[in-house]
Amino acid sequence: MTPMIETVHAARWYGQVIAVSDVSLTLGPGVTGLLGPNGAGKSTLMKLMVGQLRPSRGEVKVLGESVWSHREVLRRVGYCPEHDGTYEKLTALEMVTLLGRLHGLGGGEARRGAEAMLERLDLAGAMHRRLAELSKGMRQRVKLAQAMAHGPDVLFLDEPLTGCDPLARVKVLEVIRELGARGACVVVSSHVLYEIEALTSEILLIDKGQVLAEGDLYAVRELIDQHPHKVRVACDRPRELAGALLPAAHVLSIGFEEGAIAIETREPDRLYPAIPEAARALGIEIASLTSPDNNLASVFRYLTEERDKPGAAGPRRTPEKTGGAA
Amino acid sequence: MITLGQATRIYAEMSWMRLRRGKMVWLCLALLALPVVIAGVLAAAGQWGRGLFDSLLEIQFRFLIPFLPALLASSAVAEEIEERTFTFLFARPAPRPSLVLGKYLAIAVPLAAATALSVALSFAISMARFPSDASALVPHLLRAEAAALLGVLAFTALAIVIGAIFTRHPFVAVIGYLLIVEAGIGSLPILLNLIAVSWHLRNLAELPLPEIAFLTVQVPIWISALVPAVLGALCLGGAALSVKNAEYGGR
Repeated sequence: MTPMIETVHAARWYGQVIAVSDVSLTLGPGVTGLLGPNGAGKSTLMKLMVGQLRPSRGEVKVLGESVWSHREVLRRVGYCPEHDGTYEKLTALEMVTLLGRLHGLGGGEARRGAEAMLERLDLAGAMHRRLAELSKGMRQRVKLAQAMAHGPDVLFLDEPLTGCDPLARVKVLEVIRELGARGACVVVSSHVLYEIEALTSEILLIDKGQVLAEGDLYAVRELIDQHPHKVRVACDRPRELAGALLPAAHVLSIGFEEGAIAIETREPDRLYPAIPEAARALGIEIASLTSPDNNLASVFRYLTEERDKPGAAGPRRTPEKTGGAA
Repeated sequence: MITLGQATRIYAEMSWMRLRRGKMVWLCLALLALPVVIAGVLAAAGQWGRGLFDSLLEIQFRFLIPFLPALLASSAVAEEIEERTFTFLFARPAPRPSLVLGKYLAIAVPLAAATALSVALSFAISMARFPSDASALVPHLLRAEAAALLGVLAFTALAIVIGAIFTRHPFVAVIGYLLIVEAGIGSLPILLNLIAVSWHLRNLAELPLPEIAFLTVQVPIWISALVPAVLGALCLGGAALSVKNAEYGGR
């Protein structure tokens, strides 16, 4: 099956500055989070994918076609840019309707689509007000509405939650998840890890123009085979449990915390069954077992640190995507 | 799939909605009313006839016809780039050149209509006292109207293409062009002034031309009509081409 988005050794540079470097990836239906710090190259990668920039090298294909100036492809694409610029003199409804018409929708159809999407994003009461009068969060939702009102198959959302209050965030996340569940390919960029975490486990980690890792959060976790995986076990007799686990070859170290031990391993698959086994043998009661490494922050931090180490290899990738990505 | 014509119409509608809600269009209308007001004042002071009408045409052709398109059209493309709203537009299947054509229509058509009205009212006031003389001057009025329309169309296209190239300071760039080429070279008593649109507009409108000291040149009016028309079309094509191939999303 043709991937919905495919980049092959795509690179983009501005003079001496490399914004995106040798990115090869494929994405299928579902929501994928594009994660990276500010200036990582997320927006440039997105502009390449939405056909606003041409790659300096390599290829960027959307729906099987090179996206630059490909009108048939653009007809099925939606894009919400990162910037705050809107048509301040137009009302929210006018902007979304006119942009819908530029997608080839008829006047009535575009207006109905715009109204429905603005209502869906809780902007029913504000759609007849000029954009200059709306708050930043409301304008952000208008931007989202213009990207989604024509029912795109591929949707690019660059920092879509910027400026949204908590209630609006919930609404926006809900709409994005729905689109992904309906089979659209949705790429959402953010530098805020928990935003992506709340949306999907399919991620692309990008920094300095390179993809550090891609895939399911757990697949990414497997990728980090040199990174000691930390497991925190809260129990009634931590020292005894530590004594039982320490001789195992897959255990690198054990630290003590109040009422708990923190175990480091490179083979979590072996460690996880070993813990309850040891506890059962010693009659130890386990209160909780958590892995702080399963959040995106730790994965991103680790990969960035690894990449920045002297003599580190290039970008690391999972061999293939899992879950929602192709 | 949306066609060039459909997209042009939508862009024109969008641009006009934004334009009429801004202040600039009202400023331009006020400036176009100026010759009519001056006509009224001078007529009240006892000036009449072709002399008055030609003085008013001087205001039109020296200042308003080159300057008003600069005010309205120089930032037509640049404002989309500066405010980064082009990102909404170029993620659509609408042909990119339609952006330029739509903006051109939204600016040039109302401006041409308002200019034509301003010239006609100036003529009416100038001739009000001796209406019997007016019929003899109708051909002059028609040539002045034709020159005014061609001037607005050509200068709007020029302002759009210059603004599309110099997106950082589009107005300054257009004013620079007007000062150097139109007001500067166009007023020189040498053959070089034939490159200036304003020279041809004056020729078409039967206004005094700068003297060519050592050469006698008679330029047929059809050539003077053709020059702004062709130049305007070339500028519009150039602006459309520039937007079609441009990448504005870079750093």
